[in-house]
Amino acid sequence: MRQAGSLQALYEKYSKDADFWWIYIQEAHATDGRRPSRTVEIALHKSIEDRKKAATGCAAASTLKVPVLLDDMNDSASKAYSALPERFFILGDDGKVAYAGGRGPRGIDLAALEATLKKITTTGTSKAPKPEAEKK
Amino acid sequence: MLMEHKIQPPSFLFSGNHRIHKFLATSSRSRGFFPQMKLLLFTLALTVAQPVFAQRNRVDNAPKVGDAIPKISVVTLADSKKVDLSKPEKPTVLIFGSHT
Repeated sequence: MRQAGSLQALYEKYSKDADFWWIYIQEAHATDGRRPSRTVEIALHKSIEDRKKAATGCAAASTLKVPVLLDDMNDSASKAYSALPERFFILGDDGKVAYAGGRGPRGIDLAALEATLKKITTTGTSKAPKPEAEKK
Repeated sequence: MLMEHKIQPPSFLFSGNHRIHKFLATSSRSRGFFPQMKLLLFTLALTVAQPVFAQRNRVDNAPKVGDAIPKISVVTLADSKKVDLSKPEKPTVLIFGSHT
């Protein structure tokens, strides 16, 4: 993950006020996929053990030390959040989505993620900030 | 009164006995040189833009801000315990990704 360093910095800064989970999903560029990675050779996961092995290796090699969760073999988490290849969200303690990032790599905006996280943790409310148009 | 100027392609394109030379010479005489260039540039632009549009057109079912948190089935890597993320006790950052 390209943003591992920046995400680790966010984790260290906000981990007292927020939970962080890294959800390991299907490989975006598996060796036997449509667009294989040129740098990392991992095949599509055929079992949860494959996914566990890939996640263990990735977590060990990464600078990001956030607790890791595994998506199931139906990719239900990835599908529910349209998360492939990478994406970030913030869930509020009111049961609603507080931040929905764009799909990576183009849609990723760490500054917006941190701004929302800062607002939520400082104001103590997870209620989603209203868009500018609604405020007026 | 304005004079109509017919713009000719650069002369270096017509050096030698080549198929491109003949094609450009023929087509530039009949339709002009720049329509050919426009077609070429349009084709190039389509080729470059295709992957971008492909990604944009992918279906995006992601929840939006203010939507209820989707129920998902995930387990911890450490001990394979189920984790319920639908009712977080405090703000929760989800980072979706893989090694590749």
